[in-house]
Amino acid sequence: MKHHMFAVKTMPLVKAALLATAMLVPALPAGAQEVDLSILEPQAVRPMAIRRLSATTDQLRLEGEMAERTMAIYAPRDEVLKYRKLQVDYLTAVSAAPESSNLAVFVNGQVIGAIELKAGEQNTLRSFDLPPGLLVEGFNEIRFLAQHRHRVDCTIPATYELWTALNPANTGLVFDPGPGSQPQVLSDLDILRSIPTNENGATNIQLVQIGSTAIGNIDRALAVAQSIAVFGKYLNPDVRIQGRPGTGAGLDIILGTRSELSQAGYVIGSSRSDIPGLALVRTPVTGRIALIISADNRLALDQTIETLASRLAALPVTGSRAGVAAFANKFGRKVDTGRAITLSQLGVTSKRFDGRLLHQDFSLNLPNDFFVGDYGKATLGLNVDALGDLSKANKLQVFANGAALASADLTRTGISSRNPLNIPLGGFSPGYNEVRIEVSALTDGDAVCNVAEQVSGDRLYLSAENSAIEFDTFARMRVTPNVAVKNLLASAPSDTRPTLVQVPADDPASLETAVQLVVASAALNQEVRPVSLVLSSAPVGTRPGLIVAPVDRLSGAAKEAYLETINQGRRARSGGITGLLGLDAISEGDDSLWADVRRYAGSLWRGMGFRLSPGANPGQEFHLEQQDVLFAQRTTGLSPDERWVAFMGAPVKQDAWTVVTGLGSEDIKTGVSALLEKNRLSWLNGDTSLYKASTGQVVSERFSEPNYFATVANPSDWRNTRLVVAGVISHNMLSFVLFMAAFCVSLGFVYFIALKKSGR
Amino acid sequence: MLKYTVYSLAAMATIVMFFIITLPLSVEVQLFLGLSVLLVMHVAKAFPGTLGRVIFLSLGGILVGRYVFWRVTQTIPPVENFYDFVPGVVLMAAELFCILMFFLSALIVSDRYERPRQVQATDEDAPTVDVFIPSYNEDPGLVACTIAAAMSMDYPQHKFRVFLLDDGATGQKLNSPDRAVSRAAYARREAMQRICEDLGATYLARDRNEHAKAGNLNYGLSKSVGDLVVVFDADHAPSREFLRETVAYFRDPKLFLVQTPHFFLNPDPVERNLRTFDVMPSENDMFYGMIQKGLDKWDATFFCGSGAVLRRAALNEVSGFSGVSITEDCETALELHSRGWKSAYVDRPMIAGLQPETIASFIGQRSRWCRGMMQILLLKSPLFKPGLNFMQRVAYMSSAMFWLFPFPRLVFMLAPMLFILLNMKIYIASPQEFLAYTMTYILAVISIQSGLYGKLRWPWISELYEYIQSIFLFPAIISVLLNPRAPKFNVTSKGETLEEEQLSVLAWPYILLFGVMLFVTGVLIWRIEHDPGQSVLLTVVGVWQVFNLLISGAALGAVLERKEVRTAPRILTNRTAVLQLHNESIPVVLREANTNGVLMQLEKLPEGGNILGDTGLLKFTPSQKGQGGALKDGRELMPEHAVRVRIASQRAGATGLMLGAGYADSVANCAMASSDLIYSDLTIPKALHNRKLSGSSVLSGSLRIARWALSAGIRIPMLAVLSLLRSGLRRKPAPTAQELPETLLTPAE
Repeated sequence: MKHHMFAVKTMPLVKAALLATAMLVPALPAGAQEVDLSILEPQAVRPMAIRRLSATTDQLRLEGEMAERTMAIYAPRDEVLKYRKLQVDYLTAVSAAPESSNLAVFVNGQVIGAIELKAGEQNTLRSFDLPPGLLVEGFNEIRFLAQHRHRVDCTIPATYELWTALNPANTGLVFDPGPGSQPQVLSDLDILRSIPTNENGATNIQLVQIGSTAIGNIDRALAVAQSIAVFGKYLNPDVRIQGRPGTGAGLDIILGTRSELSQAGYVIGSSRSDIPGLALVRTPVTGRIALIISADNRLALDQTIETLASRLAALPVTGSRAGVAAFANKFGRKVDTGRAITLSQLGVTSKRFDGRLLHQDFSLNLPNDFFVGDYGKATLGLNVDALGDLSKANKLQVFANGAALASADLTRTGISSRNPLNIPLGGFSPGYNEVRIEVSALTDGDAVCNVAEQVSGDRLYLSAENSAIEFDTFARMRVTPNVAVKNLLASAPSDTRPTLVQVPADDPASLETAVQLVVASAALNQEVRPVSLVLSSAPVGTRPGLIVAPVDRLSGAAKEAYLETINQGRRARSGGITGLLGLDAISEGDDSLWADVRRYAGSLWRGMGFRLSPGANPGQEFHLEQQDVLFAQRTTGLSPDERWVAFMGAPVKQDAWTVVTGLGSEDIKTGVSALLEKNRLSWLNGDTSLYKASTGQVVSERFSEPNYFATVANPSDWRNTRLVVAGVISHNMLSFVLFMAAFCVSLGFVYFIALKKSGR
Repeated sequence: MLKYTVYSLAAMATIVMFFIITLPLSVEVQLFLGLSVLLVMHVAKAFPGTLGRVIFLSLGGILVGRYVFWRVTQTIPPVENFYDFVPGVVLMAAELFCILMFFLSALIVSDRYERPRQVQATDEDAPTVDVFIPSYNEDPGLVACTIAAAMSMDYPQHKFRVFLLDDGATGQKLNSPDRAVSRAAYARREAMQRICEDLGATYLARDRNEHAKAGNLNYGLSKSVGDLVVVFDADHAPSREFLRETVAYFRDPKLFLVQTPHFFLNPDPVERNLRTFDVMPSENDMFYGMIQKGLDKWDATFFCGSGAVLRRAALNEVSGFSGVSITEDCETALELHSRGWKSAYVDRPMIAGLQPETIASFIGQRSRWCRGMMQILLLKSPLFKPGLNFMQRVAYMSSAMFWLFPFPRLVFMLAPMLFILLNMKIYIASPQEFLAYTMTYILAVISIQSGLYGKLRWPWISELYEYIQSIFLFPAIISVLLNPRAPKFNVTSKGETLEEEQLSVLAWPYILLFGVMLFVTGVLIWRIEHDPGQSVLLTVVGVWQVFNLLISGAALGAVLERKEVRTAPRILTNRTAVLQLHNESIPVVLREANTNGVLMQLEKLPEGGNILGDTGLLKFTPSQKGQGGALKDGRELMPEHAVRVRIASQRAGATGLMLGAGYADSVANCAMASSDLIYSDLTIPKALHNRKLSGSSVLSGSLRIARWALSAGIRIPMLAVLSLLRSGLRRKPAPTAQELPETLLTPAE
């Protein structure tokens, strides 16, 4: 069957898979409850179209006594005037006291409505009118601010029981798409910033495999998908490879030579795009977009893809001021050393707080070649005024990527930016980083917990304008092996060869997981990496690259990498002080006296404000269970000469195997999806990370010796070298101390000889 | 070639050390490094000799260096917080000054020079020597004793002369319009001339009191011709061996100075008031026992005003003793070092002297030293003075800058108060950083002090002495900085007595400051209780504050002047003598002696019953120490001493009858006898002194300070209130030997 113009094949609407998506409690709050997902069934189909927010259920969870979510939504020129309402579908924890829990909704900084939050409400779907002119073409900011109060409990752990979950399926801008349902041919590439998300809040990107054409076109489609993910900062890509375009919300990428497309039933006509051979088609109701790229031959096809990528990179970000800022901050604000960034610049708003635990999240984006190590610090100058008569036991805690890094006690007056808190650099990762601040604000009355009188006015005031974070310095050095998201598709930046993405040939789940990881890491890294898919009927892992396969399908270096993780003897002891003393690797089941002593010492160590060793795990083992995903990277060893050459910045070839594995293909897919939905990809570090589905935690470890590759323009730059050395020391404390002792003996001996040769 | 290779290696090692010092390590790594290095330091401390010491210092230097780098780069308040920034910088400057002094001191003492002994055994080639004893207002009996000791030195009689340079009876004073001054000057001249005549010394008094001690010495130079010049302060009497043990070094034609250590028979007021003289190393032990030896390594030993031999030719080259500053000794050495002359330090105590008895005199003495060294720093600029080598510059700068200690000491006392009282953040650091950097630095410094000076200086004693002096030296420094040429020479009072225990006339500032410290500590406790958010930081600062409180409390103990009725210290001796009493010759053993009399032991009471108040003749053979070689040459023993004594006390002891007797003879005769008994042989006092050169742990040192602070902190403020109703310090001049207090020679129980 042939159609005119860019007619696309249709297929039944893919049923929303909300319930299939794990919606677990974020790992940090220990006492959190799980959400009753049954209430989050998609609502009945409505005649109105919806443009959902680009966020998963996890990302739309408003947790704690005061929680805030800010996101950017793109309004295309032809739809912005149609958006009349913002619809919110929500569910609130039963612990929340209805008389003092509410949700406020802001668009571009303006309140458009508020909801009194009551657990067990029948009607959880609310919509708010959008004043004319409030939305503008381009990015707009939508902010949710939830305030909860516990019904009966005045303790800090109880605050983790307070949440409101927004249903991504029914939360977004609703509008009447109009009578026409014919696909619209568009010319504006900006539309690729508004790919509608599905019911799960994921961005479905379907790479359409044309007939039996070579897999090379899938590689090209994957490159296009990466470019679009970078362009629209799509955090939750749901990438699939199918023979036909998808239905429902999402994006289809269809590309091939004209003959290939023609053979597959696509009629090639003229498009409105100024890029030859490129066309954009949108289905009005679902908003699904088809991106079709054709050319006379493969070479021309590659050129068209390059042109598209460069055009996308050159397009400016437009929209409201708040919307543009929200989009800019989506994967963290770029950080420069020596320059303070106020929390307001990071999207945090000043607020008065009348609860017991104020938490505030923001994200930062550190340089790709940021060398992780404790050689410097970030200084957080926080201005939090204590408004009430607080008790003596209140603290400020700072977390980065889920790990507690620093803490300080609250003074009677709160916290002043005059007393900045130092956060060790070793807790951050290259690229995207999530930072959370928690400030407790207990009063003596909370111990009694007279619920009737518990609301007793504001306790804290956070001034975002007067609070700032500043990084004093970054060492620049690429470290391998390293599973940080920046290095997942490991290859040197100068290496233009595509990374081989290897999956078993008969394993579509692993294949989709692999491409999903490629696209997601491109979005997070804001960088397109050339990849080449390799489907193998034999076990995979003998060649370097990204290997996604179940453990029983691994071979070669990939298999060795996995086996290393289950061999306790191979695990490198953490180089930190707590690692040396055995404080950070105590098995949970070990109830010996010695283990108790070490636990107590570790607790004391943390109590003094120190932290456990970078990369230390709390005695976790790397045994895989269902839906767990193991990320491990191994590299070819370098000779001492090569190590030195690499350290000094000259090119040295090194192959890397990045293994993503689990007990089965579906386990891997489910685990990776959950990791993405929970926004945990940035938590990977070391050369091995394990995502534990049961806890939502990421456990990291280093099994192999790191290699260092200079990335700065001048590798002999003294300042950078000094920082790198300090960073290396922070991972090899005992070696350093032994070196110091030897050095001092040598130094003393040389001075002794010099003294004897001087004076009398 | 080897030398420069070694220097190059040392330079490279130093560069690597700087690299390590500037590494930005995490607090965890820093803490681990600090504790590990401290551990290795303790191992290195066990290795004797210079190599072990230098390794020990290198380890400590790394920790101190890391602290400095962190302190300078991380802990200064931002300039926007101006009221924190300024005191923050002042505190850091004070710390950096101390650290600089620490490094200079460590550099100087790291390889101490043990000078080979050289003795002038023969008389023929012995150079001629003029011995100068400058005097201003010292008691004639005291001066006579020094002259007598000098006259008794073992040296060819025709090759040395002793000059009393009396500035207390100059023409200017004789002709003073003030009749009292004139009359006193005449009396003094008459007494001194008689003493000199009796003892065989030469009396010299110039016309005008110009350029103080330096002018007096130069006058002596103009009236003498000896190859070498020896200077003894009027209260510094030499032992018999002095010249034999020093002049031989002058065979080196470029040598201008041989300095010997000063050995004191009496405690300084801090030692006396805290009762530590018999058990704790004295304050000057560190200087003479270690620093001068370190300076000698670098040819930078300087003249200390007394107990030194100088070459006349060298002095003539710089027109005699310098008089620009009021520390003519150091200044003269500086001038001569800059002209290429060399110096030597002979670590053999051969003069015994007196220290000031009261806190006021002590402060006055230190004030002169401090102002004089400040003058040298400002007017002579050792750092830029042409002719000095690098290490001599370092040594002189170190010696002069040391006297700036009142600045950091007072800053350290005041700094914690700013945080406790005003919440000023002048030292930006987290409690973890305090632990990782500051604590390890402090422990390293304590360890180094203990390792280097442990036997010569107990923990916290330097801090105590510095605090006691700082309150009055700080304004002195300021006055010199404002007008470097203003200070005038003042003579330190010696031989004062205190008839009863009383507060020093200088006590009030210490009491007030202690009161402030106590108040601030109270505020500290209150804040720790009521400001939980800062409790950790307050605790850290609190440790500092409590330390300051203890030091200021212990200082109160030092300003309570203990009762002292003796004008002269007693020393133990063991000499046989014969007491002729009522025509009876009684063999006695002299057990103790001072410039006023002796304590003798005899087997039975002389016939005749009560002998108290009776006068007898005490005969004994002069000490032969230092004459062993000479006696072989056939010379005769020195004639027997015979001195009239009056029995002042008697009691029965476990070992026989003990009689206390005061001299009742001419001043010269008394001086001859007492100088022989006390100064001719310092073996026993030196042995007693060396016995107390033992270390003390930091814990016991801390407990000791706490004990002093506790007892004095309670007692002194109460006494101060009582003293408001009474007159201040009652002091009277030292009595002469003839005015023997009855209690003076009462045997100790």
